Amino acid sequence: MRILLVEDSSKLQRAVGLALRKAGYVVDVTGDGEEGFWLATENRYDVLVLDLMLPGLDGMEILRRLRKQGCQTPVLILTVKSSVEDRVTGLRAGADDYLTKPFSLEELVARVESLIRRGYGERSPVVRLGNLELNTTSRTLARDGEPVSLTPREYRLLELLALRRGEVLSRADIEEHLYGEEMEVFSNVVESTISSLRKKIDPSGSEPLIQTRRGMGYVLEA
Amino acid sequence: MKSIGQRLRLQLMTGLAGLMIAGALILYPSVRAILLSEFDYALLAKARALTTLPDPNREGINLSFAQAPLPEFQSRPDAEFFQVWLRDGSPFARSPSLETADLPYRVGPENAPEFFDLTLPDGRPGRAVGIGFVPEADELEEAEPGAEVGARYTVSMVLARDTARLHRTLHGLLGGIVVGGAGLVGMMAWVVGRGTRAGLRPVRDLAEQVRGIDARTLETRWPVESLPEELRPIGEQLNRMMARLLAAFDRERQFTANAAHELLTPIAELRSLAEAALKWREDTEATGEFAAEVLDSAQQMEHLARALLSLARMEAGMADVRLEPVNLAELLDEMRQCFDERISARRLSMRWNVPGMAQARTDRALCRGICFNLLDNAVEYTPAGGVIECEVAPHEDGLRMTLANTAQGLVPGDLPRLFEPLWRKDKARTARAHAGLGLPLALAYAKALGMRFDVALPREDWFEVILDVPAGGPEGVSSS
Repeated sequence: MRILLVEDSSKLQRAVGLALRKAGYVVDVTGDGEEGFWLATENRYDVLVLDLMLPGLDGMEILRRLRKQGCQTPVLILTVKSSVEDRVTGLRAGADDYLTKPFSLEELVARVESLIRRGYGERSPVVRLGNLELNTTSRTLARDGEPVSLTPREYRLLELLALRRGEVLSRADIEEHLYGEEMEVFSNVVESTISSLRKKIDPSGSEPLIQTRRGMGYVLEA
Repeated sequence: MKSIGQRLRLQLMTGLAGLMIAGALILYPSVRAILLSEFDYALLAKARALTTLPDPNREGINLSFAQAPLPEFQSRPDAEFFQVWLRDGSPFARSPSLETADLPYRVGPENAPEFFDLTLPDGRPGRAVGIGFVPEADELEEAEPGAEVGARYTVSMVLARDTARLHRTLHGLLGGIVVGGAGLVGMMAWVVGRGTRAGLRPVRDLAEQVRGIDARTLETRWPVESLPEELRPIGEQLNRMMARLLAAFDRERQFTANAAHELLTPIAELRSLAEAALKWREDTEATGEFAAEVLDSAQQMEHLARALLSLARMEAGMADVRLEPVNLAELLDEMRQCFDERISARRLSMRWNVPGMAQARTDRALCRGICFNLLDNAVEYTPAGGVIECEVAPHEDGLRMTLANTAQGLVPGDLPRLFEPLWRKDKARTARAHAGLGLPLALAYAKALGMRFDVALPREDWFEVILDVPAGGPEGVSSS
């Protein structure tokens, strides 16, 4: 899952960025409003965490412009503006959630998780894939109640495919969501992760859960 | 008594009641005197009518009505009385109503009869007139022309009648005055009450409107044109005060909002950094960075709190001012060195025109605070590659320091706001090292030192601070 954090405080960028990365998200960070708007329009993010008082372009203006362009990315406003009027204005401008500073990192991460689920039409944190249960809150996978050990990279890939099940994701889509722009991606990292994931989630002899669409990408059918 | 209405009512009622009592005190005796005068006039007229009836002749005086007395002189409950005396004082005739009693012999001459009160023989209060007269002697005159019968036959008469009716009338009048007065007082109280209530309605309305004002209704303004003339100055003054109050509340609200933002952001940083450091303490690289950032945020908050405290102390007049000769050139140079690193990092050009012997008489610490804040502001807000000019020159009895820098985005409307604590042109408040207290602090220090402090936009994209500093010695300023 890929998140854009638009926040002009470098300290908050670091703390929030770390919390989101530790939660398994790929995080792009900027402190400038203009750049934030550009990033949001150029990339597909799962959640946009947006400060309101920003240099360059005000956060509320970024939100309005994105919604006007038809951008459906869930937006979490993160601001010191705490009055009811400010909240109402933010939510009516198209924000999906509103969190005031100071805040708990844990709460911020939980809200981001919730926004991602809602963004993919899921209400429950548990996604059922046949006899597999993927818990997006505890970030665990279980088969028939028995835990299945996954590396963070495998979990992130499975979560992406599970939340967008039925949708063919290209290798570029997957790289973008799992590694972001700044990280150099080895050419076969997606394939090797898919391979190791299949070994863990597919019972021997059964139809693979993650299917390859030659020339197109991968799709999870459940 | 604090109510204007009550005071007005009391004063009006007291005044009107006093006037009424005074009126009654004048009216009753006057009417009484008139009635008494009328009574006396009637009594005298009757007495004079009776004096025409005695008929003197050679045998003496014949009192014609004594033989055929008038009915009012007969014995009856409302009888009147008369008695006639001859010149020697011997009773000559009396009314039957007197029977054997006598009336007091108090007689005045015909042109000045004597009136007096008495108790009538039957016990009633009465009033009498005593008059001396000479009966007309027509027959005698005809018989003996020129005979002086008058001198021989002068008689006196006292006529008395009861005054019960007069007293009843007077009592009725007095009662009427008292009862009517009381009724009038009641009516007056009603009219005065109604009048004062109606008259004071605009005052009450104004008071009610003023009472209803709170922090949420400071936009209230009074329609001065519709106020009575007496209240118009109050309405105008209230409108002016409300405008000032609204501006003050707005400034306070803005200050609170700005202060909250200035504090909440570093608090959010501290909390998030601390939370992250605790949660991922095994990530020593990150937690090490976080510790440094926590310290930086704490220092920013400390700087903000100290600046606010300093501002509050200055505004409360608690500045500790010690005047001494200060070399302004050295002080400015010392302050400039504090910013050398930032000046070169931002590629700022410094144009320095400060004579080396520029001596001022001021407080060194406060003057340093002014120079530091002004230079800090200039270095922070001059766009990268911009210019800062500093000039000190003689001005009137002292020195004028002008610090100008290139600046973008400032408009004349911003200038008064520059002195509002925590105000920043940049709504994002990105420059975290600056909370918008530099200029307010510099102004507060300058005020404490009695310096004139002004800001201006002398030309396009230039901002200028002008500071008039008292000169420090006979040398004033000299070129270095």
